[in-house]
Amino acid sequence: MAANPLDTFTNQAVKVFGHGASREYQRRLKDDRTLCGTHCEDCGRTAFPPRDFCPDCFGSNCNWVAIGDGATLYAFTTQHRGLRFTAPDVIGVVDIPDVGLVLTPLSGRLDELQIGQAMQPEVVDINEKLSTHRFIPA
Amino acid sequence: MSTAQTSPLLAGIGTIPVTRDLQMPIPDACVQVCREALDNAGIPASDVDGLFFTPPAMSGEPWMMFAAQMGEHLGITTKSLSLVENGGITALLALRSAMDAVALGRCKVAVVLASDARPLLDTNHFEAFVRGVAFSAMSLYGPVHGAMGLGAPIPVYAMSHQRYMHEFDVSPEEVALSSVQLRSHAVDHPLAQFRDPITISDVLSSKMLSPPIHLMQAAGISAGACAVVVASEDVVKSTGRPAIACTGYGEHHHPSHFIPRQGSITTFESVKESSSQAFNEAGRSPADVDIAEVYGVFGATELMLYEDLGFCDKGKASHFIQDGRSTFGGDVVINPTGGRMSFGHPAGATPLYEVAEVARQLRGDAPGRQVENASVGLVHAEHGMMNGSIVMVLEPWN
Repeated sequence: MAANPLDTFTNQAVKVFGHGASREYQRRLKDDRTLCGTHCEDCGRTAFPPRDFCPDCFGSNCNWVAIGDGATLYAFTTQHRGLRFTAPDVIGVVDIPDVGLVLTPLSGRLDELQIGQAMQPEVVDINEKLSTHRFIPA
Repeated sequence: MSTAQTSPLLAGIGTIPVTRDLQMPIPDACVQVCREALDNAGIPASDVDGLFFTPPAMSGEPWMMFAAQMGEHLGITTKSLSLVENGGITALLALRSAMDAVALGRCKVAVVLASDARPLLDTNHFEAFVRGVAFSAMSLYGPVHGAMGLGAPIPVYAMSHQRYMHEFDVSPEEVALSSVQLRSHAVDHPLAQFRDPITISDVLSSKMLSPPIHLMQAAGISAGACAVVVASEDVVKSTGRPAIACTGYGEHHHPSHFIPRQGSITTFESVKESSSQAFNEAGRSPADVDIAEVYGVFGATELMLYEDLGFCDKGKASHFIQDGRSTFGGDVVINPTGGRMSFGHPAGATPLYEVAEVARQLRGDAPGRQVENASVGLVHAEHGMMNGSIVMVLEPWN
């Protein structure tokens, strides 16, 4: 277990507040180094955050798929005092084709980012048990 | 169960000033506003048969069985006693629950009690503090986004603000107008937290929180308490006091939390839907509204709400303000309290304070800030960006 108390308690909180699909999202980030959503074979839509059912048609015929191709920057900002990352803590929304708007940490300088620019996902390890997705300029 | 339907009426109001820290313990604040509201309604506590609470500190420590404890503390016997929570609409949802109980004949007199105090985070005990921070973030943002390190949801509203300027070609100065307009209202409001006049230059030179949101474009840290008495027509008739009716109600929840998967972050779909429901039920239109209290917690949000509620065209709210149409002497006085940014924003109680202001205005009981001949009022609250909204049209009864 990580020594940092924020890590320790975040790992505990993930267990308390998590669900099956969020655990699989974590495993795919950590082990497969891939950002995934869930694709519904019945209605053809892709959900993020992922679910083990389809939030659009309520079907259960869902498969995990890598997402992030073709992402563009939709909006971005920083937070003055984030809980996790040090300043500049850049936060954004990316628009992923066939998925929609996704809230995400960003890597990049605020004054160099532009709405509409191409972005790609990467994986950031928070500690040995926990990772998060992040988007960087493509 | 009775099948008799009666109109639930807003019969009494109790408030304390909004301040950074609560000026008394939470139970004392609840008792004070409850007694004031019952006095105002002319109804004795012994007639109360319903109590509807909001959590006493929405972002703070849980308070187990708060409603039951307060029922005992107040010494009031009830047929309905509950605590209601759903983000920023919490207090309006509690009010709706009370109105439903009266409408169904379950209760004759229900008191809605909303309070909010700043969480007392114990920074002297670092581990407990960090545990609270980690669990709060995960519970608020969920297991996928919770580890990203978002604190208060300011960045989410900042991106909405950025898109608003981008999509509708609105300048930072135009967005800053909303803060200045609201402050000019708060200056004259006895319950408001921030009452020193400000200029556009003050707003844009105040500390940057999350670009493009400056400090003076964000609701502050606030505490407060408010009570509203809901009573049946029979009870109100027996008091001979003026009461307010909810002539139109609308509620809509979009299945998104902060950022919708599909759609816009510059239009509140739930606000458009809920206001259209409320206007339809009331047989009113935005042009009929004399006074409105809306839940604009950030500068650009305030503008988007005026548009989505139908007071002006999309992207044009700053012109609406600039032309004096949202203030005294204009089309509609919006947020005569000073709104969330200047009145102060004790989130769990905010929507009930909005109801209190509109009800007082409609009863002609707003000295120093009275909207002349106010006869149609509107109250709006949203919870979580672009997610859920309640709109009520309020009018004097009889």
